Amino acid sequence: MLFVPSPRSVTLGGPALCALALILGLGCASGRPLRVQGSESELELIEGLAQRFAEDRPGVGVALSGGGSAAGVTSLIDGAIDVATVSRPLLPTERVEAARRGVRLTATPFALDTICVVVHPKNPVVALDLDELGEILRGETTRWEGLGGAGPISLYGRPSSSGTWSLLRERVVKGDYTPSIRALGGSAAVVQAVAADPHGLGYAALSYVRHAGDSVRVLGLVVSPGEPAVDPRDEAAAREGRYPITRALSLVTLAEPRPDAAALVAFSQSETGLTMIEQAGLFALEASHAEP
Amino acid sequence: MLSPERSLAPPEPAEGVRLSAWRPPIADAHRARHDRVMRALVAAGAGVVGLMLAGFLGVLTVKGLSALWPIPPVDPALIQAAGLNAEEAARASAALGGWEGLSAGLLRSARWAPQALDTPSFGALGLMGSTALTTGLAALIAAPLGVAVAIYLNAFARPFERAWARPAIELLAALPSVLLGLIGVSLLGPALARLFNLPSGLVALNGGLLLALMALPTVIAVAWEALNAVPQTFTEASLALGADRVTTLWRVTLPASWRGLVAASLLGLGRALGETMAVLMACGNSEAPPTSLLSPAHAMTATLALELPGALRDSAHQRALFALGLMLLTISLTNQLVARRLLRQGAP
Amino acid sequence: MNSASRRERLLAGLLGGLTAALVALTVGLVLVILARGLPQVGALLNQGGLGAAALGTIGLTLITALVAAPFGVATAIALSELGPTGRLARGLRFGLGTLAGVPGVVWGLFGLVVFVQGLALGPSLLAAGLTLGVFTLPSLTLACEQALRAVPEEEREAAFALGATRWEVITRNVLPRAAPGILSGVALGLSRAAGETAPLLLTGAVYSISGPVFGLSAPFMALPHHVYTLVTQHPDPAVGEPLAFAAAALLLLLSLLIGGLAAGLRARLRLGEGL
Repeated sequence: MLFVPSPRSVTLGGPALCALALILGLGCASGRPLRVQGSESELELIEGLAQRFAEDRPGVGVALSGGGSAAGVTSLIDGAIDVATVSRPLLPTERVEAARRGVRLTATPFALDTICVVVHPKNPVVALDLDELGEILRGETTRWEGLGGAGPISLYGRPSSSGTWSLLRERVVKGDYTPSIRALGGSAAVVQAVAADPHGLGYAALSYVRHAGDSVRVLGLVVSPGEPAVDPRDEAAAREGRYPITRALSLVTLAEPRPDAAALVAFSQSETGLTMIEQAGLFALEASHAEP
Repeated sequence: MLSPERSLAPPEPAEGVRLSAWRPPIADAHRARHDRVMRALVAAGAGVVGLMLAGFLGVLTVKGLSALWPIPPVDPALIQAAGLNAEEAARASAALGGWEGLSAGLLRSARWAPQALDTPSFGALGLMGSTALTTGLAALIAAPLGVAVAIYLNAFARPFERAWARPAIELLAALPSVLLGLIGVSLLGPALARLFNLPSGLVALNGGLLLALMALPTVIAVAWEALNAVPQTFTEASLALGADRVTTLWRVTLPASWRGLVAASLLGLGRALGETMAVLMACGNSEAPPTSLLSPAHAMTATLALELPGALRDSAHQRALFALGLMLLTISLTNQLVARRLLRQGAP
Repeated sequence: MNSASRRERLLAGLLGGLTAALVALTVGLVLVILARGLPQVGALLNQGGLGAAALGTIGLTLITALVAAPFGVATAIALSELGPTGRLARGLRFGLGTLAGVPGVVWGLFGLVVFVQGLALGPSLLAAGLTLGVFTLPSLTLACEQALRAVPEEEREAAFALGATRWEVITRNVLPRAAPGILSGVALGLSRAAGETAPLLLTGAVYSISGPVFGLSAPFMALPHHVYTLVTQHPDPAVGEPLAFAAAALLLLLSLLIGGLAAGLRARLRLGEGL
């Protein structure tokens, strides 16, 4: 009588087994979701697209994460995701890595975006030329005085995993950024920080700047001396390439993607997709207009 | 159930032998088998855990040391396959291959520029400096404050005060670090910016203060235990000789427990060292090494969290990040070992 | 005597003031998070992914419990009851003790290399749950061993004297006596794991999910990670920050709930012992 196995172990094991069964059951119930990862500049737009895409297709789930364009491409090459959202051309290193791993990638541009340079609304500066901006971002100019303002410049930007970071470097910085730029997690954080800092200057993607309204001032950029400043919110300037830091946002997949991934790319170029892109404040690109 | 032949009383154990080391004679074969099987199962579970721990150390060491091995130049055939022009080819080759090993650069340079245009640079001194600054500040605040609270709870507090303080400290220990990061971004940051007239409150000081809050419960708990371990007869003897509580504390309790108090501070420091979210969210993450408590910092843990997802597999960048991870692991293990040694020596 | 007692009062007042300030600060922090977050929770449960994040955290905690509790308790039993002084046991205990202080982000590196890439689980709920499980194991095991060792030796001796096998002594005598301590150790480990963010950043937590995405092999959302992304990545800080506080309040409530559950169980077991 004394030494029968304890009933306590049975009562403790019961809930544990039930929990296991529950998790496994739920795990088998849903199919493999579509995994999308990449640029944080277009996170909100892609989230909207993914939601509409999933609504129209019962049983299809989309998981979206940020981390930057580099994280998207890296994960795609690793086979951890299905679609990478990329806000810059593929880097040479990434193309070599893809070749080494025997992975062929296809990029489909779906929208035009401009990188906006923003300052605090109380800052008197309204435009910069490209050389001035380059000097600021390289750390050669550290005060507002020579540019029409006053006080030290404090810089807000993005980490090196960001596509915005690398595109701006190619087109404007043409060297290394000054290391004193604060690297913030997303365009939203940059806009927020500049809105709170009278001496601040930051760069952020267009849709985030539109959200911010009057809390920051968007600077016009002068490409060559004597010409008028170009505003990044000017659609014609972006489409004609007159605004110097305009880029195509693209969806990158394997050359032979799984069917849902191809469907998502097609959806971004459908009537609904184009409308949503325009509503997000970006300039839509139809397949025929896409850059090669 | 008991067989009559078996003696009910076990034989007297030899002096100094723990009874649990003695194996009782079992008559019932079925029960004996059940006993053996279950014991083997439990031991197997422990074995799996042991292997897992060894695997943990092994994996991180191998990955971390891979930064020492040279990375061969990129195969020109791959560059051709990728269709790069001359300039792109030069950049890709410089970033991906031809490394002699990163170890020297890691400890000699403060320039951490994994995506630099010419040749990437992986100098960890700036990151280590950031970690030292935030963690050091946290330890400087948390160690004296934590020991002071522990002394109060040990020597002065009334029972109802202890009953209130203990759950409050456990609550602070249970606050997830991301919540403190949120506080740092939305409450402490703006407050610091106003106070010091800064462009932004996302600076080393912000992270250091949050880390101090996180280290405090550890310091208090370990220090309190160390103080409680001082035999009551010591303090009673001192008080009976006419010394007041302050003298007793200074001359008797603290000298008897200093090892435990130092260990408490070290364990608090270790807690602050490994924290990721607070320093990731509240410190501003500039690539430049911090010049003061009011400049942004970029701690080692934050760098890992921010950059690892975008580092190509087996690239120099990824290897450098794993080397950072190994450094963190080594520092925290050493810190634990020293603290535990002090605690063992301090135990009466 | 008089001056000595004034010295005493001064020191007691100073230290007491510091202690009171710390307690007040802690309670204040908790109240601020709850006050700013709770009013938003109800309205925003369907928006901003709070529901999915809460579900993900519950799933993660269950996997963590299934990994860490059985192995942790088994290891604690082996350490305390089977061979407390052997060389292997001492080595294991030493290893657990030193690894209990290893930063979460380093466990995240391990999870990335072993579970996400090595075992090819991909960035998924299972990989993250396993990572949190091994992250929790050392501290959980040590807490359980402490609870087992607190059971007086006479308890075991008496049972051996009645002819019990070692396993019977463990299940009938030691475990029931140690159960409150074991449960509180497990609960403490789980609440720590539920709030941990850094390993999730490396093992598959995502910003948002649309449609049916839930399962062991699927990416997931989690409350602590959601707090982070809402603060740093939400396009509109005026919307993101209240949402972040709502997620923070839910996370806080969840960890308080796990802690409270353990306290309740402890109280019930103590009652049961008296009967």
